[in-house]
Amino acid sequence: MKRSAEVVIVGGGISGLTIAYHLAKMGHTDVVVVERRYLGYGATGRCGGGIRQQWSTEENIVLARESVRMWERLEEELGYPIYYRQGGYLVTATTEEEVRDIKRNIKLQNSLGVPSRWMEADEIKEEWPWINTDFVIGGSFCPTDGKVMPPRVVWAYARKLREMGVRIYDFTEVRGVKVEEGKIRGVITDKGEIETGILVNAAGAWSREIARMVGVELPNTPYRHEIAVTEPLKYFLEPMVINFRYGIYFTQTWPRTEIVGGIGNPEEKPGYNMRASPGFLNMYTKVLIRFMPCLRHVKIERQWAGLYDVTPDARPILGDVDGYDRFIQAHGYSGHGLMISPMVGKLIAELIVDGKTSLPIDSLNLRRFEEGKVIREANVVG
Amino acid sequence: MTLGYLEKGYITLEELQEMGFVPPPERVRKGPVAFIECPQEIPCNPCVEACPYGAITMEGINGLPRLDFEKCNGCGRCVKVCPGLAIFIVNARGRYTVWLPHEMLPLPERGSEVVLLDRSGRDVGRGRVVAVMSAEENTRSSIVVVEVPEEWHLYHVRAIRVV
Amino acid sequence: MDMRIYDHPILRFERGKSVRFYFEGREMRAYDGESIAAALFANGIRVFTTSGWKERLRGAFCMIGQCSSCMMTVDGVPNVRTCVEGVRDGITVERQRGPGEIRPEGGVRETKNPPTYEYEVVVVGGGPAGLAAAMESARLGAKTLLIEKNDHLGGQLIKQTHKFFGSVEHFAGVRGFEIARIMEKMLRESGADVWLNSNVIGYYEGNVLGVVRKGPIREGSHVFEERYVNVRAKRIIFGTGARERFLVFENNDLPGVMGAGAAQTLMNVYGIKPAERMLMVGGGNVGLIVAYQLLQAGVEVVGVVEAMPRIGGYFVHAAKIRRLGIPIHTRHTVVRAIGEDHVEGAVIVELDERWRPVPGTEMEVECDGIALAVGLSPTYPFLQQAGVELRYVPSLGGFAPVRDENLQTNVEGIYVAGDLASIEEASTAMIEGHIAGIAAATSLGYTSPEAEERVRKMKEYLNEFRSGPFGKPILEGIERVRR
Ligand SMILES: Cc1cc2nc3c(=O)[nH]c(=O)nc-3n(C[C@H](O)[C@H](O)[C@H](O)COP(=O)(O)OP(=O)(O)OC[C@H]3O[C@@H](n4cnc5c(N)ncnc54)[C@H](O)[C@@H]3O)c2cc1C
Ligand SMILES: Cc1cc2nc3c(=O)[nH]c(=O)nc-3n(C[C@H](O)[C@H](O)[C@H](O)COP(=O)(O)OP(=O)(O)OC[C@H]3O[C@@H](n4cnc5c(N)ncnc54)[C@H](O)[C@@H]3O)c2cc1C
Ligand code: SF4
Ligand code: SF4
Repeated sequence: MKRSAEVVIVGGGISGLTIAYHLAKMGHTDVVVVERRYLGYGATGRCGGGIRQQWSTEENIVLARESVRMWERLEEELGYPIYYRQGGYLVTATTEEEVRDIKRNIKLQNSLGVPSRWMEADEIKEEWPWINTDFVIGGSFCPTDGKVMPPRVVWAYARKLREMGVRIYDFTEVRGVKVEEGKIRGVITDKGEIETGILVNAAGAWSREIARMVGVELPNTPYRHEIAVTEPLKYFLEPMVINFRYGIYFTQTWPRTEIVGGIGNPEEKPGYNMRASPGFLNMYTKVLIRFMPCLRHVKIERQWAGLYDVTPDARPILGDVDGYDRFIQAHGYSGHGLMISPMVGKLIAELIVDGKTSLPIDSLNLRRFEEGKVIREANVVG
Repeated sequence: MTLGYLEKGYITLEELQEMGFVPPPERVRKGPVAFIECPQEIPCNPCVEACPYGAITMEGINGLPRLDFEKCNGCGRCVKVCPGLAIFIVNARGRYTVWLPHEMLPLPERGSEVVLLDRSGRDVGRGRVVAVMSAEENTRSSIVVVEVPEEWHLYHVRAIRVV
Repeated sequence: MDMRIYDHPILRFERGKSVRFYFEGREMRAYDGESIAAALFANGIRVFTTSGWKERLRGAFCMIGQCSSCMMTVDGVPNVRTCVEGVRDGITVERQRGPGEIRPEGGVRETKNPPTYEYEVVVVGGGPAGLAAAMESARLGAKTLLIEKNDHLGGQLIKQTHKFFGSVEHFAGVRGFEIARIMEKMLRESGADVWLNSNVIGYYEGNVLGVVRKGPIREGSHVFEERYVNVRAKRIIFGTGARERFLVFENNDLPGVMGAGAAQTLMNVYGIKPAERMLMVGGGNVGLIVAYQLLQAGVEVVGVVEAMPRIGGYFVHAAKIRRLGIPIHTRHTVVRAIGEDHVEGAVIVELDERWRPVPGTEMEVECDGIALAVGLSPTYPFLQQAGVELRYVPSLGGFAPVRDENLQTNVEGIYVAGDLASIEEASTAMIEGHIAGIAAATSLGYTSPEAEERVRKMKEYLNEFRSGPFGKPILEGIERVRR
C-alpha cells in the first residue's frame, strides 16, 4: 500500500470514482481511493441507474443537464460498455395538483435548456399502451433523460483509473483521520496509514462517520431504500416512469431486460439497515400494477436494499468545510447521486486542483445549513 | 498399496489376493462361498448385519468386510443386500457356478446361454444360466446363477450379457 | 418419437391419465403428472428456448426449477419454468426467442395483503434432512410446518434407485426412493403440517419467510395460481440441499448438455430416457451411480471421464459399470460439445499432471447427451439473508454455514442440516435433520429423555460414520465452521 498520496478519497462509490477520474484527467494521478468493501458496495451498486434532468431546483437541473452531456460521451471516453440509453423519463401525474407542479417545473427546465414537455393521457396511451391511463392523467417527458447499468459504470471507471495510475484499495477501511490545527495530515486504515494533505469524503451514507473522525458534524441521515427486479421480458419499456406522489419509479433494464423499480416508504426509520423486507414487496407491487396492470403476472426475481444519504433539503453537500483546510465533501446525494456524478466529479476535481469551479457550487456548501439558506428539492423519490 | 483399481475402475485378482479377499480354491471346491470385492474403507455395513452366521466382521462402520471362509456357507443373503453389488458366490463343487447380482434388463432365461464378462467387461467365454432368483419386492435385485466352463472363470466372471 | 421407458429393472412407472397438448401447433401426447419439459423430452424435443442476449439455443439443464434454460411461453404466459410446471390437457406451449413477451392489457385486480402464518418450528426443504427434522420437532410437540417447493417429498432421494450405503439402522441396503416413502409416512404420522408446491423465496427480518404457494384457484379446479404468504417462525431449520455445478467447455450450452441430476429426474422420476447415448462427465459417486442408472434405463453410456488421476467416488460403484464394459477415462476431460442444434458428439482429451490437455490425444465420441456430474454447491442464499456466517471450506462443498454440534448457526434460532450444511450423504443428512429437529424443539421447551438419549447416540454415530477416509475431510471441514 502506498504510504502517501496527494489526495485520498474515502469511498469507492460513484462519487469517489468520478472525482478520482477527473483529478487524473487533469494530470493528478497521485490519488488513492479507499473502499471498505468492494467497489459499488454502497448505494452505487444497488441503485436504479436512472438519469433525469427534470428537477425542481436550478442547481439540480443544471448539474443534471451538464452531466447528461458527459454521460453521452462517457462510454467512448472510458472505453468500456456501460449500456447508457437515452430513452427519456416520464414524470407522471395522477392528480390536478401534480399537473400544476409538473407544468411549473417544465417551464423552469425549458428555461435552462432541458427539453421536457407536457403529454396528455391519450398521447401517453398511444406511445406506451401498457401504462394505465385510467389512473395516469398526464405527465412530462424529457427525451434526453435515460438510464445506465450502474455496476458497469463502476467497472468502467475502475479500469480506466487503474490504467491512469490511480490506486484503488478495496477491502480497506478508513478508521481515523489525522488532523493538525485544521489541516489534514493523513488517514488511518486497517491496513496502515496514508499521509495526505487533501481528503475527500465520498463515503455516501457513511460520510457522517468520516466527518466525525475529523470533528465535523454532518446533518446527513441514512435511510433504507428498497428495490426489486422482475424476470427478464422482451424489451418494451424504454423510458423510466416515475411518480413523486407515490414515490415510485420503474423501467426496464438494458440489456438484462428486467423491470427494475422501487418505492419510497414514508414510514422508514433512519438507520443503516440494508435488509430487504416483505412489506416493500407488497407495497411496491401493488402500486406498480396500478401503473402497469400488464405486469400483474410477472414474477419478481430479486429484491435488495441500499441507503439513501439524505440531507435536510435533499440536495448534495459539496465543497470545503469552513475552518478546515482541504477536507472536501462530496455526499448527501439524497437518492440521485449517480445521475449528476459526472459533473460533480469534474467540479470537485476543479476545486481541488484550481481552487475554483466552472459552475458555482457555493449554494451546496455545508455552511448553508448554518446560514439557513435552504431551498428544498421537491422532485425526489421516497 | 498402489490403488491401481481407482485409476482403472476395476480391480485385479492379484490386488484382491493381496488384500485377502479371495477364498482359497480348497474352500471353493468344498461348496458355495461368498467372494467379497470391497477393497475401500467406506461407511457401509449391511453385509455384516445380513449374515446369519456371523461370517462377516468389520471394525467400525468404515472398516473392510472380513469374511471367515469357514463360517460362510454360501447362503447368499449378503449378496442381496450389498448396495455395492460387490459380493458374489462361487462354487466349484459338482459344477462350476457363480452367483451374480443382476439389475439390468433383460433378465436371462433359465437354461439360456449368456456371454461371460470379467471385471473389466471383457468377453471371456460362454456360460449357461442354471437359476434366476428374480427380484423380491423389497430388494429388487435379481441374482443369476451361471454355470461356467472352467474353474478359472469362478475367479474372473463378474457379469453377463444376455444374447 | 417416444422416449418413455416402459420396462425397467427396478422401477414401475404408473402413468396418469393420457392428455394432449400443443407444441408450436403440433399435437403431442403426455400423461398427467409429467412436467411440460418432461413431456417434451418424451416427444423428442430438445430445444426449449433461446438465450436472451446472443440467442443461443437452450435445452433443459437442471430439471428441478433451479436454472432458466427451459423457460417457455405456456398459454400465452412467458417465462414458465416448464420443468416444474405440470402438463395439462389442451395447453399450448411455445418456444421463446430470448425473454418472453407480455401484452398490454387493461383492468386492475385488487390485491389483498398477504396473510402471515405463525409456527414454532418451520423446516424448509423436504429432502431427508428436512423430513427428519420436521418429524422430530412435531413428535416432541412443537407446532411444526415443513415447506417443500416440489409436489412431492423426498428431495434427492426420490431419484435414487440404488440401494443405500451406511448402516442398517439408517436404511442401508434400502433403495433411496423407498427411504423417501418410509420417511414421508413417518412424517405424516408425526403431526407436522406439510405444504407442498410452496417455494420459499426469501428470509426477512423477524424470522419471517416469504413463500409462494401454487395451488388450484378453487378446490378441485385444474387452473392453478400462485399466492404469496408470509410465515413467521420461532425456529427455522434450513434443509434446502445443494445445486449442481456447471463446467466450462466449448459449446457447453448446447441442448443435450445437462446435469446428471436432470438425467436422473427424467429417467427415474418420469420414466423418460434423457438420451440414447450419453457421455458422463465426472467420476465421483454421482457420476458413477447415474451412469449405472442410465444403463438400467436402457441408455447406452459411451464412457465416464474424470479429470483426476483416480475416480473420486466409491470403487464399488465404478466396478459395477466397468464390468459391463463401460470405459472409465481417468485423467480426461471434455473440451467441446459437437452438434448444430443439439449434442451429436463430444471431444474428450487426456490431461497431464498439471491438468493441461495433452496435444494429440483428442478423441471424438458419438453421443446425443452429455451429463455433468462435477460436484454440488450448497444453496446458501437464505442463510446469507439471515446473516449466517459462511466460510469457504472446499471439503464441505464451498461456502458452508458456521454451526454448533446441534446444527444451530451463529444466528440464534436458525438451524441447518443436510447437503446445505455440507455436501455429504443422505444418511448423514437424515441424522443431522433428527438432531436439528430435536434441538430446535428442545430450545422451545419441548423435550423428552428418550430424545436426548437418541441425540447423544446419533452424535456418536456421526463421528464414527465420518471416521473413514471419505468422512475425515468432512470432519476436518466441520471443525473449521464450528461455532
Ligand atoms: C435503491 C436505490 C435506488 C437508487 N436509484 C438511483 C437512480 O436511479 N439514479 C440515481 O442517480 N441515483 C439513484 N440512487 C442514489 C445513488 O445510488 C446514490 O446517490 C449514489 O450511488 C451515491 O454514491 P456515493 O459514491 O456517494 O455513495 P456510495 O455508493 O454509498 O459509496 C460510498 C462508499 O463508501 C464506502 N465507505 C463507507 N465508509 C467507509 C470507510 N470508513 N472506509 C472506506 N470506505 C468506506 C462504502 O462502503 C461505499 O462503497 C439510488 C439509491 C438507492 C439506494
Ligand atoms: C446420484 C446421487 C446418488 C446418491 N447416492 C447416495 C447414497 O447412495 N447414499 C447416500 O446416503 N446419499 C446419496 N446421495 C446423496 C443424497 O441424495 C443427498 O446427500 C441428500 O439427499 C441430501 O439431503 P437434503 O435433505 O440435505 O437435500 P435434498 O435431498 O436435496 O432436499 C432438499 C429439498 O429442499 C427443497 N427446497 C430447496 N429449496 C427450496 C425452497 N426455496 N423452498 C422450498 N423447498 C426447497 C428441494 O425441493 C428438496 O426437496 C446421492 C446423491 C446423488 C445426486
Ligand atoms: S453367503 Fe451367507 S453365510 Fe456367507 S457371508 Fe454371505 S450371508 Fe453369510
Ligand atoms: S455391503 Fe457391500 S459395499 Fe457394503 S461393506 Fe459390505 S461388501 Fe462392501
